[in-house]
Amino acid sequence: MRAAAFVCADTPDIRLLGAKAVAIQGLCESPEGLAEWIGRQAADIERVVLLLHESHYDLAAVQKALRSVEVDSLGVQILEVPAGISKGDLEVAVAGLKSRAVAFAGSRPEQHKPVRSERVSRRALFLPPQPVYLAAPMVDHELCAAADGCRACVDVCPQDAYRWHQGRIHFNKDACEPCGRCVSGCPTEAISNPSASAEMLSAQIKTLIDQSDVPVGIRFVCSRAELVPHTPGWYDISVPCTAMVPGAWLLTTLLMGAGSVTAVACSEAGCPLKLDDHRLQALDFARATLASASLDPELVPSDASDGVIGRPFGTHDFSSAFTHAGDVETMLALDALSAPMGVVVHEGSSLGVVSIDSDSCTLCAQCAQTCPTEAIVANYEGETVTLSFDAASCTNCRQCTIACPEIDRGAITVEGRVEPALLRSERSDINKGTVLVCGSCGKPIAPSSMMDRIGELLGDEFEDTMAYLIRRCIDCRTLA
Amino acid sequence: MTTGSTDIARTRQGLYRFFGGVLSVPTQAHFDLLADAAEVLGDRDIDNFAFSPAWRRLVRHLPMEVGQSGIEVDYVRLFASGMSGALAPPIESYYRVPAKGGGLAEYVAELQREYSAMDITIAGIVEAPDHISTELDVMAHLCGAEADAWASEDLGAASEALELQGRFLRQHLTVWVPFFHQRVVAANPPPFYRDLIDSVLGLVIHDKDHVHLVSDWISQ
Repeated sequence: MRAAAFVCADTPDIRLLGAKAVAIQGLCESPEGLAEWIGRQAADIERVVLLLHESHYDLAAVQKALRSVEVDSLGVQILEVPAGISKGDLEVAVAGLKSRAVAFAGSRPEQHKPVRSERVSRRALFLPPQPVYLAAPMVDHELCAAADGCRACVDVCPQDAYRWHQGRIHFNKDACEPCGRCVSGCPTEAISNPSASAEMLSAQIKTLIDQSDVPVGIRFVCSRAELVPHTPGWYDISVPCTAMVPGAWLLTTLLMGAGSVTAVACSEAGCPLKLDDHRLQALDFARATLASASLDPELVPSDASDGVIGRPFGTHDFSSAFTHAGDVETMLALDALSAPMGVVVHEGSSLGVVSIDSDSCTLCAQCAQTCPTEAIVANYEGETVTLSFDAASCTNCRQCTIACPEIDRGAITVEGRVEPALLRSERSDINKGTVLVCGSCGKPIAPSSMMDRIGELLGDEFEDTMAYLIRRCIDCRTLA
Repeated sequence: MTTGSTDIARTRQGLYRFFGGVLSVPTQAHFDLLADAAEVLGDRDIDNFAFSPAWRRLVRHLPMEVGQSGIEVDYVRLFASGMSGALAPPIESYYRVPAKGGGLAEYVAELQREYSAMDITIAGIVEAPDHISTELDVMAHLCGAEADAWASEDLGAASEALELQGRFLRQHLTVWVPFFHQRVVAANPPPFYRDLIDSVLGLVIHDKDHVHLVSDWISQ
């Protein structure tokens, strides 16, 4: 995969880049020159990094130019060169963006969401709008657990772009304002946004950390944000919206080797999608977790500030950063750094712990049926049914609480909770009961606690019916 | 306003007609015409459309010597019914009837009623009413109607044509073409058909978005 960086020749301080980027005259205003250069000199370039003037470029025209040389426009990485950036910082930033561009896996037509360009030109007055394409999420139905009842994306989407119907998720791209909440909120990682995949974020952050001689600060920023003033030593990681970044990702970034990490608001007016609470919750969770590990919560400041002090945790190689497995790995690594790390109970946790109230749970196993990650499993053996739980698989998606018919009686609760000992331990039983068997053929009928509950709901009037139902399985029942 | 819009609608009309043709039974005469059509379309600013990289990959295969390329054999293997059936039947009812229920004939009859409601007669078309070529030709016809409307500065007629295009894309092509695409890809097609099916998927998905965006623009 070949990637190249290009800089608008009119950019102030262009000499800072040296040979790290190809200078193209007028790149911001008429990006056709970029297409001509690629077509003439490097037709094998598949990924592109552009260094442009702050907000003074026509993104629709940039994307069109890239399409003309068969470059996937959703993979382009654009850095609006901030005033006052040092040569060293700029080179590191470009290296990070190149790594991110190379990690871009390509996009599908379904992932292009056209929006009208806000740029007004004389041409735009006479022609239908030339759209700018944003990267939209897409559901991989092979990985999606909707058939089992999961609808986590429906729950987390702030724009009601998802609908669950007959065991399948339907996505309305027109309603979606890409924010990435569905991507990080999908328990089975079935939803992806091609412009901010785990691989891309991971590659960019790793390069920024590796390329810099001094500890770096990492700042997650919203792709809609106005240009945030550059702070020396800090590098921006663009995401569809900072509300998609769970607290665990901030901690992962620290463990990868960042000196500090934060996620910043779009502007002083706040998040246009009104999702800022999620960002603040993530920051709070990260700080609470650091505190529980007797580490400095100020490693996660509210904003990028001067003075990234050190590399507090060295560098940790993640096999799958910014995934659920990566979140678990992060917590266990933090636990290993402090002896012992306390339990963190926080709504912003992307790990959860399920508890069952055995008095009200009927062992119907709807929770296990719906659990998209098999954190809860029902096991039938002889005349016993057991519900078991694996904390390392729980994403705190709470789909089990939606499926539970006895939720009003408190049969199941999920707590956003990080408890390293539980993450390390084997799957454990959380409820157990007997199964009624057919008096005629010996096949299982149903958990006895479930039949008791049905009898209780039906009342005395149906006592005889219940007495019959608990003795015969569905195959052996006959009409009186 | 109308000149630019007419051009865009005409380009889309040409693209649909091109893809309708390229998914028909391949003959040399036919492919010579398609190569010419690709050249003409290439001058029409296809890069305005998001699927243009896939289009560019596809047209590199043209012109093509049909006999030497073995494309007829690939066509039959992929799309035409052989002893064991086609690997990827290019007909809508194959993908929709099992999910929707009802019979094949019933489904096709319903589609023909839709065509009639849009004043479209398919008598001169060789393929079945729900064959991909026919459906792409239907879209070409609707884009043509839109272009005519723009040319005569009839905004109401342009809106109506866009409404019909949007509905046809939402209810038909964008529903089943992704499944058709999956079947073709799974059949390990030669590069020409791989690039072709990627282009067709890109065209219908992006065009649904385009129609939505332009309709929205008109309504404002």
